[in-house]
Amino acid sequence: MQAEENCVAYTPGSPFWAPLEDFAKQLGLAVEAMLRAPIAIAPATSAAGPRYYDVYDPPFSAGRVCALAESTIVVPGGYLGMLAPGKRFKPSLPLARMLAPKCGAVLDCIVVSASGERFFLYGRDVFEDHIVAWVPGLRIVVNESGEALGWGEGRIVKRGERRVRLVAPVWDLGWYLRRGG
Amino acid sequence: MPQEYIGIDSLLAKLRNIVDERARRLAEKYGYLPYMVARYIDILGVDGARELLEANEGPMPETIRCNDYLVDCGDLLERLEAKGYRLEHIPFLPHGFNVIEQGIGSLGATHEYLMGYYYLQDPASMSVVYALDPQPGEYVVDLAAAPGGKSTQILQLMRDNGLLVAVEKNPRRFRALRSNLNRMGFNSFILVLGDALNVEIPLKPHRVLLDAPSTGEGIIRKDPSRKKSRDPRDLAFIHNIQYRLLKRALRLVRPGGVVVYSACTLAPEEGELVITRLLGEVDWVEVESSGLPASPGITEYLGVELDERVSLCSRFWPHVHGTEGFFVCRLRRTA
Repeated sequence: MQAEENCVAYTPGSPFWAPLEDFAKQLGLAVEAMLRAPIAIAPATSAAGPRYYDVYDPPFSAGRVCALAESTIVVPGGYLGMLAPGKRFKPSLPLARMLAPKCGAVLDCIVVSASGERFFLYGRDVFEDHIVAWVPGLRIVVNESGEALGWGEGRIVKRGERRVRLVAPVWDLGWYLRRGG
Repeated sequence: MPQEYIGIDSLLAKLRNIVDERARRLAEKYGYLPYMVARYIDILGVDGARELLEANEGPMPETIRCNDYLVDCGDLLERLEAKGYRLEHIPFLPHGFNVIEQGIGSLGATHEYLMGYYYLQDPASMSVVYALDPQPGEYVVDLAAAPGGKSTQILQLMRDNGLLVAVEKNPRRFRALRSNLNRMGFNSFILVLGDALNVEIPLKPHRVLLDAPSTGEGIIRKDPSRKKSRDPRDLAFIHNIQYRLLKRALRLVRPGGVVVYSACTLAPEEGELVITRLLGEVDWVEVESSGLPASPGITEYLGVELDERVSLCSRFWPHVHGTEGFFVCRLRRTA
């Protein structure tokens, strides 16, 4: 499995496996519990090779998808996230929805109130008055009904003399209105 | 005595001679090209044509399709009602609801919309996928898929179990298709950016949907400029594209498989004439009833007799059904 290929099946030990493993570990999951047989396709390449990969959960074999991807642009199944060589995996909105049922059981997620949900979906920071459960770092953000709202980062910031918790949106569902259509 | 159908060009030539004073007067009053109104009079009579023109003056009612793959439709209704919307079930559409009263904000921007719990879709457009009747575990192809209303509905009916290959030619619309499939929570698809006429499709699908590109004569309420923007030569042009796409759909589907042809149009040139031409050229296709509560396809047009089997196809009329104008025809490849 060469890094310069445009269509790559993820397998343990491949150069693409480590960032996914790191990401899963950060969430507190085994990578196999998060993804079945992901595949990465480079939508944009330069002379030096692919600039980044879109990662998918394909509905049939990677070999067949890659053969199809040789002749045309394809989007094979649910979008899991984006991976640029040497960078961290950036998880997608569908992945947040896929994993949200695990919140509270095997995943630590950020929970926001109804007002927090409104702020978050407008792409605004959510401060502690509107946070029901907070965890530091990149996390799935859900509302009080457990519905996925996207990915946010739990941070602590100084406000005057106080240190306050907040959730900064990384990728929220409002994206479908702002950019997605 | 009606004449036999001998092709689109000879029929379109007739359009030049059918515009009479009644058509001219109505065309002037409602702002249409006279040939269009003359066609409506030919099909519906003067009173029916007037009713159609009047219906096209009103706003499009807003309707949604509940995505019961992600949410219980009763729960969705309660949530939207809590936001001030009032909805009413559309009797012939299992997942369709009319918006009776608007609530706070746009229905295309609620949290429930962002969560993929519904899609804004016209009832006639929704009915097309019920005519296709995709089943869980099947392999289905949608040949002109963006922005994804019907693709998401196909996967909803399949319970995201099976495979949908959705083809779209336009890169910008392809992006919307991808976004809608992701928003509505589906995974069992492959989107292909390409021309439906020659894109590579692996294996033989059980069903193919061709919601063909059209002149948009069915959505004059959304786009009043359509009243004057297309002349008969445009109809001939789009008719030929639709015919080639339909032949491609029928070659793709497995023997015994189903193709649903639809177009957002009132023009017989884009509906019954496409099917009549097909039936005149191939003997391995059957027309089946779509089972939709719509009007039958017309079998006589401008004094020309069409293939009588097109009466099994369905037409949605804005003044009769309150929907967009739509043509739907379910075909089966027999060999």
